[in-house]
Amino acid sequence: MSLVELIPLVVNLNQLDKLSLFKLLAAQIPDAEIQVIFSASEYPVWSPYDATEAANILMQMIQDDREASTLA
Amino acid sequence: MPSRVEFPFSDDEALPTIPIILSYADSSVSANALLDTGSTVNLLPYDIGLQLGAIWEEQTVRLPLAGNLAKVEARGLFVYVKIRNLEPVRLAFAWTQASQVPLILGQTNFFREFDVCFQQSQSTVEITRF
Repeated sequence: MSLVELIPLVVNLNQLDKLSLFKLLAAQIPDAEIQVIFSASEYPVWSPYDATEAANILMQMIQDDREASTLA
Repeated sequence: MPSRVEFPFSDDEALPTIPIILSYADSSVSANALLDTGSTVNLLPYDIGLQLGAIWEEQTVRLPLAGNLAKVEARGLFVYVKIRNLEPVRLAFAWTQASQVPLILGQTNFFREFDVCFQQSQSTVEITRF
């Protein structure tokens, strides 16, 4: 059976069978190649959790604004 | 003027968001904001800034952001934030040129202006202005 014939059958599998198939295939691929596949994935992290420089600049902006308001 | 408000927080909701009104000059925009204790800064999506009438070229404070946002330019912008019937507070936002991002209330300076209590057992979020 060729891959072209196999793909529609895989698509029609239920979620559980797809997961089982995934595990079966993953077990047959060397770890190094699996690493390459997953390290190429990008996952968006929109929360700027370590933007300390940006936070410092914003704090300075707030400070400058407060001083300007006091002088006005 | 009250100093404390409470919002329902559904167990089914993946992330805690609250409705707020943003104001800048003569414009106001209603939006849901994510309460993000892990975010270093407040984050304003580009399209909301434009809806508020802010002009990108006029914002001169450039901010280096982290993560996915590091690739996108961000500039500092003051915006008034009104939470239900609390007194509006002027917050400093990192206005990013990305639009497909959440509106985030983060450590600088939302959490410097408000106490936030996540009461999971009561299914509420309590916000106090101090």
